[in-house]
Amino acid sequence: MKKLAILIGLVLIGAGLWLSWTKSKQFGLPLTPTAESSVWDIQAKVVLETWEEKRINMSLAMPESSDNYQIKRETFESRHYGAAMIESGKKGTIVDNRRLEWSGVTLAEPHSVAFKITVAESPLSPSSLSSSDKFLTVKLRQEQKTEVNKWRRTISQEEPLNDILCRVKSSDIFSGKNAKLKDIRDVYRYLGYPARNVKGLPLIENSRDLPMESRIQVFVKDHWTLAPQECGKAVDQHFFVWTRKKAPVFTISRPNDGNIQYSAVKITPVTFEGTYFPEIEAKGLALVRYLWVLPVETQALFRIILIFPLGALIIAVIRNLIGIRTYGTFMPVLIALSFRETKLLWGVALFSIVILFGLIARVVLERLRLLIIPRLAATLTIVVGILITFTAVGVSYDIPSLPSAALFPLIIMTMTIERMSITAEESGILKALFRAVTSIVSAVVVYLIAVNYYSEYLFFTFPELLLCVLGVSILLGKYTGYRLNELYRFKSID
Amino acid sequence: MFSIFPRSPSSLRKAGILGLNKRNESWVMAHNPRRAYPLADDKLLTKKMAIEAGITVPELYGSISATGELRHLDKLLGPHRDFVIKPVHGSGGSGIIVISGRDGDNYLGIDGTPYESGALRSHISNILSGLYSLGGQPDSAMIEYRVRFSRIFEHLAYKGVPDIRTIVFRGVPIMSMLRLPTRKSHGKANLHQGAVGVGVDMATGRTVGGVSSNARISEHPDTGAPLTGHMIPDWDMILEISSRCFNLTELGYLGVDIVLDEGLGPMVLEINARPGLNIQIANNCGIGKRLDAIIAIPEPPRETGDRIALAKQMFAV
Repeated sequence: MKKLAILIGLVLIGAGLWLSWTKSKQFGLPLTPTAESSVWDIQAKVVLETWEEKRINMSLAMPESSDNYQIKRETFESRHYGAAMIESGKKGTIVDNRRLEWSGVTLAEPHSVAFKITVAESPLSPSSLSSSDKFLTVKLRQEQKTEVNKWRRTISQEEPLNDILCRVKSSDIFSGKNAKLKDIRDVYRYLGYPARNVKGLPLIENSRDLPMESRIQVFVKDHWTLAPQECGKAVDQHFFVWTRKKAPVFTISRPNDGNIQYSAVKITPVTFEGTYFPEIEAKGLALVRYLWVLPVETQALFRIILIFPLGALIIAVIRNLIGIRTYGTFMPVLIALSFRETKLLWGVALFSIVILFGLIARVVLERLRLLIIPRLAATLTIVVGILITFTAVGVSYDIPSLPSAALFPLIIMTMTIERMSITAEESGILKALFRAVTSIVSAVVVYLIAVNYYSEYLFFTFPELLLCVLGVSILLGKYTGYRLNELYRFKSID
Repeated sequence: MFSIFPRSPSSLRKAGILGLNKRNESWVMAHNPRRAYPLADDKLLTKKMAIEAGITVPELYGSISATGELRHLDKLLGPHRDFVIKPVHGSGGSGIIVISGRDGDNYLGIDGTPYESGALRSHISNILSGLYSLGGQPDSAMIEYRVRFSRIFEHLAYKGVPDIRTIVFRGVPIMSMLRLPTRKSHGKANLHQGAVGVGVDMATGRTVGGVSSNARISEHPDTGAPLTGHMIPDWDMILEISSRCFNLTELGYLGVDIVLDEGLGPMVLEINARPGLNIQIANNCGIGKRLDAIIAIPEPPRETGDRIALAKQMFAV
């Protein structure tokens, strides 16, 4: 039986390595992500739930390449509807409209249509104003113009846009904080900065529900830049401008039956055209890149799922080869996942602090001598309260890492707190602390090995490597040698 | 002296020392059928089977399996001045409360701590919720006779009951250790909680040396009594009972915990399907080589008497 297991394990490892290697060589997929520039897969998906068959029309404005993002590829899915690209209005003018229209009869069960683009961030190069942008109307009331004229001389030269925004937002004539977007835009124009309305998506990694925002772009020095939204806050220029047209981005003839959702996944720009995304979708190639053709939000999900096999294997090694025990066998993997957002140092610090507060809370609860399951629920509630406090403090004092503590797996923390308390009661505080340290250290090890861009890329592009993980797990399952801690533990025996 | 260099694996292997990986893969998984585990893990079942087979166990005063039954706890405990509360599926001595007397309405622990009735009820409801059970499954609590330990160990044990753990392989007792409670272990005879383990010569029942927290010691940390040279009474009976537990459970690799009651003699406290490895340190001897020796025998003995004779012959110190 042992020989069979070892054979299976080795075969699996070999198969995994060989498949990955040939796939890499044959299709030119590099083994490391070559991130030359940011590339994003953006998807607009409409989920329809009509529960009966009805006629429906949908229309989506088509995005265009802009100064900082080049569209590399467009596809759309519309299995049940006729789709047509409609172009209307005079080409090159503000009413030049390119829209994708779906029409047809809905299905009785939930279904969806989607539009996907792949965009690459391009380096900012100077551009010039087009003629239509030079002469832009200003529709401000007289008293508003008077107010703005007062500011003309004193606008900051280093940060004009922010300065202007702050003044508008603190002026009653513009309704202060409720200043209208078009008024802000007109103020910029009035002060000599060409400005225009745009609608688009802030590019946040692995987001499944991005908001389509209305923003202002201002031409400063030699390029269009996104104007700030709030006074004093820096602007994240990772914003994909979907359209400059006035018409709503998405319309649907039955607004109650369909919902549009935008999502974005940052991908490594692996040799795009030619191997990964050939024009002709050959069957064989579909098998090769099956994860990359998934809808964007599913991709984001898989990137996280793929961390688990390697993480679990690492824990198995820590347990069976080194001999270190932790709270909960695979808890460190989940803890490591939570460090994905908070990054390592802050993650460990925050985790420890939350656990500490949780322990104090539990000591208090212990006095009340509650039944165990309600006590667990109470501990969980208090932990959530602690996280809310952290988030509130983080937002108020503008410490960016604190709010991300809210992503910590709550159940994990509650169970860790519970087990630490029991271990402390039974075997003393030292042992409880020691186990907590080993748990966190294991989480750190898993984080360093499995939760990083390179590992994610590797397993996402070569899922065949899971065969290797499986093979190693099987081999490890037949390992009967000593654990590292035993080499110390049994030192004294003759 | 603790040095940072570990001992080499080959040195451990030569000494016949067993590691956890090997214990699990080659011995526990190979010789303990899964269906036999409940006979060891479920203490109520163990007790029942032992009584049927004529093996002495501490008397069961009662068991509680539902929170509603806690109402009648005081009535259940009424007739008994002292007792032990244990989780039925517990492991490693956790969740055990020993009550050695009364003080008015309070129950007194062995170290004098008073427990109110409410405290006991709270503890039992924790047991019922599975706090101490393997895998966190809901559990039952049992209340049993508190062993009066033999005077022999008075100066060796600190306020608790010492027990003798014997590892039995295919019915042959191969290694034993005397476990002495300490102040650190709060009167529990559990090595992981700080008790002292003392090695025993299989042939004679004489103690040969001790371990505490993985380090060799020669005196009891609380009483200062020397650990070598004591003769364990009723040694043959202890070996016989241990061996019979194999017939009882069909577990090829098991650990039997026996206590010596002053009046009732050797009693089986519990049977363990995954006995720990510290017994090797207590005996200053690897258990792996003893297991190999038994496996090498083409036809192992079937009669209890023969098995004990074999153990005495092969594993004398």
